[in-house]
Amino acid sequence: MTTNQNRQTIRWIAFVLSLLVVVCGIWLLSSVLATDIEATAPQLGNANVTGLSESFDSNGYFVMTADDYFHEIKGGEVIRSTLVSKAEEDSAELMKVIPIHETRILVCSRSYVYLLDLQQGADGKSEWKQKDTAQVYYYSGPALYDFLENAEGNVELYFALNNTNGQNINLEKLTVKGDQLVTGEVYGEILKTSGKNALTTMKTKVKALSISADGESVLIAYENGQVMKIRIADDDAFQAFLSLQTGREDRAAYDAYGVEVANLNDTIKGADGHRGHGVLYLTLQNAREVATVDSSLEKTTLGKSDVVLDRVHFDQSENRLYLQSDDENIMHCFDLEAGAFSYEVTTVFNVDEWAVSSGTNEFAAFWRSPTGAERYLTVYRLDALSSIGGGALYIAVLCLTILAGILTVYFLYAVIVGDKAWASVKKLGADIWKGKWCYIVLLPSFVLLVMFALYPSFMTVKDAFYQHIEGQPYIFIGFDNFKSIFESSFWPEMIRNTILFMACDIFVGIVPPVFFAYSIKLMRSKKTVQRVRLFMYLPSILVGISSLLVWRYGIYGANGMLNQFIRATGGSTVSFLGTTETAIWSILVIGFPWVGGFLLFYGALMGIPQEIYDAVELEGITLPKRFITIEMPFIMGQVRYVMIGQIIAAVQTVGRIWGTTKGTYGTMTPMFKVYDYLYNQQDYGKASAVAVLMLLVLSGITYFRLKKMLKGDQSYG
Amino acid sequence: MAKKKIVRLRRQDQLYVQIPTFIIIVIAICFALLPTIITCINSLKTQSEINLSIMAFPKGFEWENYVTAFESVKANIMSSLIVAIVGALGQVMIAAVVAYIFSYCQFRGKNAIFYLYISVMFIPSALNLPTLYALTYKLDLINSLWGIWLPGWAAGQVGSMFLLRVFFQNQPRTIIEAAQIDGAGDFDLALRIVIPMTIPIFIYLFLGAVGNRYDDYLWPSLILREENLKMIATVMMEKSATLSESNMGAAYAMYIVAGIPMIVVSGISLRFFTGVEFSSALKM
Repeated sequence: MTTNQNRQTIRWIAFVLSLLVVVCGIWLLSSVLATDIEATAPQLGNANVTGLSESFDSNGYFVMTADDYFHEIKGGEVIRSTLVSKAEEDSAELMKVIPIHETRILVCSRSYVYLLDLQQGADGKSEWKQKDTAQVYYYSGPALYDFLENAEGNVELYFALNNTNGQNINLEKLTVKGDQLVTGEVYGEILKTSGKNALTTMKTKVKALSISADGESVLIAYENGQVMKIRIADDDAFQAFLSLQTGREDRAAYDAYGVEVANLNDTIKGADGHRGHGVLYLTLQNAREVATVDSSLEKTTLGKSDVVLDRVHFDQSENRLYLQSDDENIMHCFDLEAGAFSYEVTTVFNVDEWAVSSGTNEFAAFWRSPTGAERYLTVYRLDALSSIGGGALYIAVLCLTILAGILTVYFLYAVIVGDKAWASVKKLGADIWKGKWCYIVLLPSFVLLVMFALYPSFMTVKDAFYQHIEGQPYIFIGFDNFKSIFESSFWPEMIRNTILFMACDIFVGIVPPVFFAYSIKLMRSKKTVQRVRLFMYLPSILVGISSLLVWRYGIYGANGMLNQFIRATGGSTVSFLGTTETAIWSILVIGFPWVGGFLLFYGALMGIPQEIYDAVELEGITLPKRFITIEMPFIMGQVRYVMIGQIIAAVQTVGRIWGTTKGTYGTMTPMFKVYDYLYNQQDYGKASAVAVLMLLVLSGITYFRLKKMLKGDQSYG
Repeated sequence: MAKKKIVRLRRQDQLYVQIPTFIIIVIAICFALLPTIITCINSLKTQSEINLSIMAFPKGFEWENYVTAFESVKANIMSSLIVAIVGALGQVMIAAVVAYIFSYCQFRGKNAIFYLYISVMFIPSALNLPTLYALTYKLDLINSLWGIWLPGWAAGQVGSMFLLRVFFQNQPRTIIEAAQIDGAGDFDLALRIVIPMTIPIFIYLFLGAVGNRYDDYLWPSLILREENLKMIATVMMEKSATLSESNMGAAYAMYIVAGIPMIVVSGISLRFFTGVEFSSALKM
């Protein structure tokens, strides 16, 4: 074997090796990148999600939707959907499922409770049968509850309800006796003592309650920092206690009943109870700590955090606390056994409710879009704790992969070219080294360029084919985004408006300014020209959107110029921007008489050499003819320039809509729709789809510009 | 005897052309100035006077309106100014550096990289928007001025750089060569020769960039959520809506107050630059 063949073999081997390294690297990186969080959204039909609750054994959850169904979800799949037939007077949504037992649940709306049992149906499958309905007396929102099984084997539920006025707290007991719901045994208002030897309303909110293990008392945490322990064993006595009135008369009875109160001297922001154990977990605002209080009414601090944590959820099976802060979209997990914060997960916007599925490291979050209009359910699966070491490892693998990639390319080149490879690489290296300062100085600008001006475009094109909504999983959906845009109600109006704007803008960008510029040029006196320039400078005191607003209120408004004129001549007020027939035309008219861009054409006209005029003048030409044969050719360049600019701007019209009608009354434009998708719905996928459509429309113009540019006509850049 | 020049009145100079043209010009100007006039007149009126008639002259001068308007938006004007000035400055400086490199340096791959820069000019801004927003959100730049500056520099540098490069290339090479013969290094060259030459166009680009950024509304309204950070264009929409209920005059005053920085900017540019030069400089 000749040395040449040896070398070639070596090159092949090196090429394959480095290729392998690259492949491994990419595989590793993508699995590291595949986040700890896998978010899925269970398919629940089209109805809005209205509530989320944990299942009895904590290995699944119940999701309630606006169509009065509740769905059971286990392992990310909907295993059963059941319709709740609500009482006739019940118009509220289902909000909560209280699982008393594996096979027995209470489904609650705002003020009604429905009892359901899981039974074998006719076809052998288990289904929920509705047994009874009860109306809860006092209501003002999702109830805080705990329940116990009493001596007779019946389940007693205690609801603590915050009244909307923020003053009263009511407690109500609901008993499940056999297949019936019994209410009204115990209900009333919890009062507190005031310094004046009197009783007064609580004037705060309940945060959580927990019944003690022996069922004798209930611990209640209030927002004002108080934790109360109240005896509940004797129904009659308790009812009497809850029936006490504010004022001085019942003070003695209150004291006699014996209520123990601990004052934590801080605002309790979030709390949750350990069901049936008489233990409360709470977060304190000023101290920024997580603490627990048990039946002894002693507070034990568990841990401290930097932010104020607003919501607490106790996970019984894993002995963990999940805490969230309203200021950041992060969920903190506190391990009660270890006594420390174990990990953090970035979630979406403020989670309204969440349910944790034990043993599977999964939790479901129920949250709202920023406008509150849409509510989502997202299930997160935590596969690994995000650790610090991971970051460094990631960077190391990335560097290795890039290096291997370069080597792969080199060896491939070497295989093809042979001996010359090393020499050309050396020359390349030398050239690069010679110009090193240029590259270095260029680097920051180049990074900025790629990161914020080039990369986004490619990503947008890709995103158009994906479902990319904040908080939803990122999945490929093909043309679905485009389909929903084409089928939407505003698609025809978007097309029509874009065509209108294009036609209108081209016309008003050229004809009036040219006409005006020509008129000025015709003027004999130079002073006129100067004065005109001065006057035309004046409108610039109105910043872009200001002049739009002046049109909107001062000209088109109810008290605007046009309407005042109409009223003066006996007509009635016209809502120019608020009526579908007139809205888009009113917007098109804005800017009349459109002569602002005359300067460019004026400059061009002034550049025409005098000799041409003299030559033509001798032949006695008429003005209009002169315009066509002399002035027009001279300004054609400017006309084309303006026309291109106008087309590009017209397809991307958004300012005039944003400042006036915000897309209502038939004035929607594609660009505004992009803004709408981004701002109101965080739907990057659909926004990208619209942007791609706009790109297609503009591609012809872009191609034209590119051609002109390459021919050396630099003005089109 | 001096030859008497017979000056035949050109057709266009004859009165039957001049007078109608003049009238057309005056009418056009009146309409063009309409919004401005409305703003000025009404900014000094009280609400009741406005309800009565838009076009009437104010009876008393409600200077109060200006005070109200100013108080209402001063934080936003400040914010807009900071964003605009820093943004424009950064953009032009970066563009200058890049243009200098492309004009006076030779290095491998120069053309390829240059075309990469130019390609940005052909991307419609709509295409960038969705991903840019997602990116800004991920980078946690929402509600931060950097979220406006960074993308702004990335995109704006290209346009300015292009013009600057043309300008640099049009400068007489002789001066530079003379300096190089005299032993000027790259840095010296840049600092003492090239930069002083470019100051006029630098100012022109800077003023233009400030003007563009000051009343930018779309991107800032997506990014800036905090009331005091919001830029003037975003805020004017909301504030003029509220003000129109109670005190329309103050709303008009607000338009003028918001525009004062821009009046200054346009005033400066008008003095230095006229449309004629711009038009002929670009060889159409």
